[in-house]
Amino acid sequence: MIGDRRPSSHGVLFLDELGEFPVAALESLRQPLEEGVIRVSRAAGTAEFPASFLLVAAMNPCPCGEGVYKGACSCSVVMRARYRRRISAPFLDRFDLVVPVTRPTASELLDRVPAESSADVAARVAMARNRADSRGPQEPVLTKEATDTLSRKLAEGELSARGLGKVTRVARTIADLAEAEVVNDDHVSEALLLRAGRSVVVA
Amino acid sequence: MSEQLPDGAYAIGLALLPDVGPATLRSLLDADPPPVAWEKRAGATSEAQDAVARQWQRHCDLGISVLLRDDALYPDRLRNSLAPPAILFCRGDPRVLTGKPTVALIGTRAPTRYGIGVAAQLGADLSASGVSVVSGLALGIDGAAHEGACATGAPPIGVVAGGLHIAYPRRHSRLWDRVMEEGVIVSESPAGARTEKWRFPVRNGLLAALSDVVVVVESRHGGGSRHTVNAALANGIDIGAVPGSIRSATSEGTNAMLADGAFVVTGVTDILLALSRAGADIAIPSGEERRAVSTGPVPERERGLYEALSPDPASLDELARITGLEFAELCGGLERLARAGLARDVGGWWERV
Repeated sequence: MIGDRRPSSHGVLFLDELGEFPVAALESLRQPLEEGVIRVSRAAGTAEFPASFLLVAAMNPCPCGEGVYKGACSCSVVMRARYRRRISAPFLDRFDLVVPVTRPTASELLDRVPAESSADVAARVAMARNRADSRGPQEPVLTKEATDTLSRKLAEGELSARGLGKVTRVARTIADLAEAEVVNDDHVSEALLLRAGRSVVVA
Repeated sequence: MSEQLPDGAYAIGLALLPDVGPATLRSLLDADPPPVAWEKRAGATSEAQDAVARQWQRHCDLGISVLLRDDALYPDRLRNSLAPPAILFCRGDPRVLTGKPTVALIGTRAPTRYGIGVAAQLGADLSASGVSVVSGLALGIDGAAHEGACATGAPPIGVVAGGLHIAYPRRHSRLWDRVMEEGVIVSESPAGARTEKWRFPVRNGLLAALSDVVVVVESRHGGGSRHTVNAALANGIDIGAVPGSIRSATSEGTNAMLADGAFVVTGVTDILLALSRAGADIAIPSGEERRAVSTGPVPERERGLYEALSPDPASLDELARITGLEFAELCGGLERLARAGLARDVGGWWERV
């Protein structure tokens, strides 16, 4: 497994069909995800391998794969539960963004507007990173409405302490992409929804 | 000593005999009063007397009450059925059996999420409309129906196959306790009886006979629900079925029932209408009343988004396309509508409440 991850230090590790990986393999990703290193201890000593990477993964919501489509899933509850058990909640918690991908309709496929080009996206990302870098490490500034939304989610138990930090960071990035100085309620709501996408997998 | 024990004790003794099923028990008790029937069957020995006393004590200790056909609390629904059980065991309040209109919600033990959701919703809606939900406490649809029905209004009625000394299936022991506390659990099997296979069709017959209307939520082709349906038909009880996708195996049975003439269940009102046809005294909410439930005014800022939502769930991508909103604005709007109780997130899909 180390061999699999080493080349992706400072790179992107993409795991397709996440639900098909052995549970032990996925759980062993938790340390590098948290600390950016893989530590191997043997009698002779401990070796530390750099393993800082961006983890991207894809999976079906259920065995039949129709779960993202309105009411089309034909899996039994038992089948769905068994499939989901392969991804533990703490592991899923490490993901900042979970995006349900729906199947495009026929009309979307046929007469769709040309998508934003990768070059344009890259330029937007570079701009947002610049903004973040020039601001330096400081606590994001939130509007009162945004703070209220977060404290309500905390009080309702829908957001954990770990989640709060992640949501705030994602909301700051969304605000940077929108060239906004202050994080507002819309930015926070988007970050919350991108996190709530997990419910498709764990519900 | 025999003077001290009530009739029910001897009926328990008879019901526990290995060669006595419901039909034999009925004919034995039709012919003689319980003490006489017991003596004819088991002899007048003191061991036989002790056995009866011991079993009676066990039922009392477990809080199991016994209803015979001449009991005032014995439900009229059963008395008027084709084969009234000679003995009925209850845990909880037996008066629940005669109080409210009753609707059975039944279905497969391996449902889809659709079936679970519909069963829980119908359970809650019926209970809130003052209807006792009858179900078998089995895994799947039965459990979901009672989960929905508990703590929402009319007391629930659980009908089980085995003796009431132990919760079965084990995974539902918490649900058992809730149904017992809020309503009643009944069985034709005495405590300590082995749960043989034949007890399940007996349970299905009892479940049907205790209900004014029977509704099947999800059922496979040839699934067990058809036994309950046949028992209900024999007793002249109306059958409803929840339609499902023609591609879903768990709706094959229910869709076939609809083709055979079961009434279509798309919501609690369909069931309430069937109850009133069956002679129950029930208030049917008008369309206005149903729409008027607990939604606040739509904030001006979110009106366009609210108009774009429908009771049919839509993905965020779809909503972004329809409304033309920036993604963050869309998320903020949905969050605020959800807070006002006007929209909700169902596993990544959004619908109007």
